[in-house]
Amino acid sequence: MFFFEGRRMVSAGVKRFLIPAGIIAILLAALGGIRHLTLTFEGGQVIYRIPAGAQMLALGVGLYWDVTCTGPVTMVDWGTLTPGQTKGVTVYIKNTGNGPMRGSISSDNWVPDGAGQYFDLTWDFGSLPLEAGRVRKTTIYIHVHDDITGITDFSFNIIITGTQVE
Amino acid sequence: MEILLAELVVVLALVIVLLILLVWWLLRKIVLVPTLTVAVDKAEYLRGEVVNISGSLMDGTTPLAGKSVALAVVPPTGDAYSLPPATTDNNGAFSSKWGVPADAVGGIYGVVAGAMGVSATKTFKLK
Repeated sequence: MFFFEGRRMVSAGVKRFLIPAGIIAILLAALGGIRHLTLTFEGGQVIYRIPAGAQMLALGVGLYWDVTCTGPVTMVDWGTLTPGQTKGVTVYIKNTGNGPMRGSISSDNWVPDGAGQYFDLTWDFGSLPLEAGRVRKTTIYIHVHDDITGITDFSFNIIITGTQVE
Repeated sequence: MEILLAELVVVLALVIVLLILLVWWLLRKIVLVPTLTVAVDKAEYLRGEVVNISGSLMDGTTPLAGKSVALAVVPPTGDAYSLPPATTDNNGAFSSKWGVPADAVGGIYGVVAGAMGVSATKTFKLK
């Protein structure tokens, strides 16, 4: 009998705790969503989002997410970008050839056409040749121009090319 | 009546616990939880010496045989050395060697192994 009385007491106590906690959790979740939306449209500023379909193409080199070269890089999601912002993504470039090579980076297939004029694509690969079988940690940066207009969504290809040193 | 209800609650609780244990056991059978380890035979090396690399890939206490293990040696500065992948034997063990180049920079090196989405690192010093 005591057990059931005690259980009812505990149950009531749990309910007293759970109901306000549930309400607070729902409010926090809602606030989180509002905060997210506020950030997304902060100051009425348009946020440009690059879709996850941004392609990474490697010619004469291997392009990976890790130094052991187990995860090939085929796509990069830059997330949300604001005008004036620079974002970087770190990849590992492996010389799969038989001799030293130099690397270069380029872009093409900008959608919409001409969007490339509002972006700068750079990397810190450097000018030193990459020896055969070696792996270089490299960060690729994208910078959005302050004066970007008329583009709300875009995609493009990044091409990493390895050229054998003569 | 109330006592019967209490017993029912206890039985239900036991059934739930048993079900959770069963699901956990089934998941452990279905889902692999690989553990990768890597080691080297010495703490310090000189240029020209050979670094003997060894390690294991296990799922709990079960060896994961025939799996490819990617290996790299990461120097303190400069480009990493990519090693040919090793394959685990019936005990889940793998081994490899890396000859320290004559022009290698001194400092702390890391041997990084990667397999089945997990990685492990062991460091050594090059004098």
